Amino acid sequence: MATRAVLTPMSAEFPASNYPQLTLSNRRPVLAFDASTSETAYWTVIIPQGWTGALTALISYATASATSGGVAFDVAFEALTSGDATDTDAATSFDSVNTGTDAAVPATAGYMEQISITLTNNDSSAAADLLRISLARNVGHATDTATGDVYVFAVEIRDAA
Amino acid sequence: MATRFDAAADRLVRTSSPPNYNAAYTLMGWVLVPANPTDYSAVFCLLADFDNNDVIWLDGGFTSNTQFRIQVYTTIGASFSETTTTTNRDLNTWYHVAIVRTSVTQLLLYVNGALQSTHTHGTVASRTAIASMSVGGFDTGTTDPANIRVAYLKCWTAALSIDQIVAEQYAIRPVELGSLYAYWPTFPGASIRAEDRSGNGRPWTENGTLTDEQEPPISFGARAWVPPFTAAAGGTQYAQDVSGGLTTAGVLARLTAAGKAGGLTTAGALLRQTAALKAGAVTPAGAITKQTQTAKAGGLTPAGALSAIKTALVVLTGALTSAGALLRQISAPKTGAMTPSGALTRQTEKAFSGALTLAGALAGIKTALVSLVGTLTSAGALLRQTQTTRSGSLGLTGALTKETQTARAGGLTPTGALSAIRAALLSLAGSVSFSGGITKQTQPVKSGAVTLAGALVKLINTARAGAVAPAGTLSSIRAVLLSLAGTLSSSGVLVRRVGKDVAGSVSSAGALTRLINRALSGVVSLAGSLSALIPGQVVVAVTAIGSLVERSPLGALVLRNPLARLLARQLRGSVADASPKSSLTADDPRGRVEVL
Repeated sequence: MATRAVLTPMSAEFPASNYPQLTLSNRRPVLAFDASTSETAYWTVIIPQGWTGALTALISYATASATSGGVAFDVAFEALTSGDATDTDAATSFDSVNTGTDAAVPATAGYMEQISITLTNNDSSAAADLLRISLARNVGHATDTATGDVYVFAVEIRDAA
Repeated sequence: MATRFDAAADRLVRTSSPPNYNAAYTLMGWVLVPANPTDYSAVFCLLADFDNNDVIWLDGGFTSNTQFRIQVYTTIGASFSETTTTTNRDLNTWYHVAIVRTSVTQLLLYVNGALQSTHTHGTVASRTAIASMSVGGFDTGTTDPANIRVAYLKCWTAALSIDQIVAEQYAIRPVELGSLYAYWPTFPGASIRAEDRSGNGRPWTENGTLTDEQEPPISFGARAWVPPFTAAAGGTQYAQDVSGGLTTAGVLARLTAAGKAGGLTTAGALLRQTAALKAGAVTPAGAITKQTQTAKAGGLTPAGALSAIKTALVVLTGALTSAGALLRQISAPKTGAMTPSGALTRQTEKAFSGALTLAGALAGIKTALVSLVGTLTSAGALLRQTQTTRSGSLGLTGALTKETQTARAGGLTPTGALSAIRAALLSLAGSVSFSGGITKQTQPVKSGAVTLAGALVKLINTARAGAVAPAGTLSSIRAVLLSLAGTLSSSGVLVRRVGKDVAGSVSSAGALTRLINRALSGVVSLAGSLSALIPGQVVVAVTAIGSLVERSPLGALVLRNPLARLLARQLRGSVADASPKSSLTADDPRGRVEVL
């Protein structure tokens, strides 16, 4: 496996509403995802050459206060190839979300854990595509029971190279 | 996050070296108005005093109280001037607001990257120098407070263009770094919200009780990190020294002369390793396919079969446990217990200490020299053994087919026939019992009694001590010299004898047909006639200590042969004819009885 992109809070982009707070946790920039409202952040990259095989997203997170329960995240891809029929100034074309969960958050708030999500739905992404990646906390998922905010430190995108 | 101002005293103020409000400057930030302002409400204020100031303020008294307007005014020596707008703004909506002094006579007001107001006024060149800069109210006190949220504040000592303002609008971090006075990202937390992140050291001072609320959806402005290159699959790794642990998620393709300390855990197969020195445990999840000259310390536990392990020399300490068959091993000294679950097919020059327990048959064991200490128990036949020295008892369930030069101590009891025993020298101590016939024996020296159930067919140069009692006929006894000590009793005819010296008495039940050169000592008692003497033969050397007596009533000691004669020498007894009618005569005129 090879690392293809590292997405950080400082490089996150936000929708007009329902977005995670860009804040600091012990002076570490984080995105704070709410427990009751599903919030989304985006990142934009150009898919590098050599992009191949199975894709994985690795989410590094910690809870703001919860010491029990679980969390669930959705990762979705919008891969635009040259000439695609997507009106970028009026619409989006994300593929179906890929959901990953952690059934048990760390027993100590602030401890970092990682959730690995296989990106089966990757919008047929290929090298040189304009790729937009969305990350959202799936607060409606049965596993997402942890109370309070979940801090996301980074998201790593891997391929099979 | 955004900073909340909701009380009269709530301020962010700076009194130390504020930017010169009489020269070019730009001050911007995001503003949200949650409730309709009911009085003058100052958002941004650069101030010397009440009579000398530049202000952005909120005007809410003229609408239905659901909207407001953003206005700009200047006071120069108590001369107030403003430029109003009719553009209404919505409550609870983020607006990007920027004030720009382009000259000593002009202020511009931008809202959301668009020019809203151009305020032209008298010159400020000589205006009283600035004393403070504030956010959330008119001054550093409680005058004209604003009920607002403010986020992502930036200030330059230059007049930015509209394009620059638009670029700055959607990034928390400053895009334009030239003439940057300060930027305050208003991250949440006391004093944190007041921090200047420009590096210029110009933080706000917090007045009142400020709090933090939801900020506008603005990116910080960094970019996602994409690695500049990715190693191709199957790349070659060259000599690398690693200290500490080394964990590879993929296949380790080749490694030459790598010194490692600590543990090595590979998730994939370990393909080849040459002259690798390892300390600590090595635990491969996959099979080990080839290894040359590897010195290992600690335990070695392969999960898979050791399909081919070639070692010039392998020294193992501790236990070696193989789940599968151990196929070949050369010159491997082992200490400790060894327990193969499968058959042991070949082994050369192996020294064993401790117990050896075999579950299967020993199909072929070749040993140049095998020394066994303790008991050796074979469940199957013992086929061949050369020069085996055994101590203790040897119990055979099967036949002993060949034995060469075997020295035995203790009893020997074969149940089967001794079909061929060749012994250049066979020394037996103790008794030898045979249930079957002895077919050939060459020069056996026997001590003790020899009891034959069957015929004694041939006996050459046999020295016998003790009694010899053949039950059957002595059909042919050839003895160059046959020495018998003790009594010789023959139930059958004694057919031929050459040169036999007999000590003791000789009793013949049958006729004594021929006697050549026989020296008799003791009494020769003939139940029958002494006859058939060879013509011309002289019975000589009859040393008769006793009598030569013809006891038969009608018997006669007759010399029938015309030329025979009986010489009685050294006769100390008598030659008498005890029979009334017998005579001691020479029947033949030419015969005679001479008493010498």
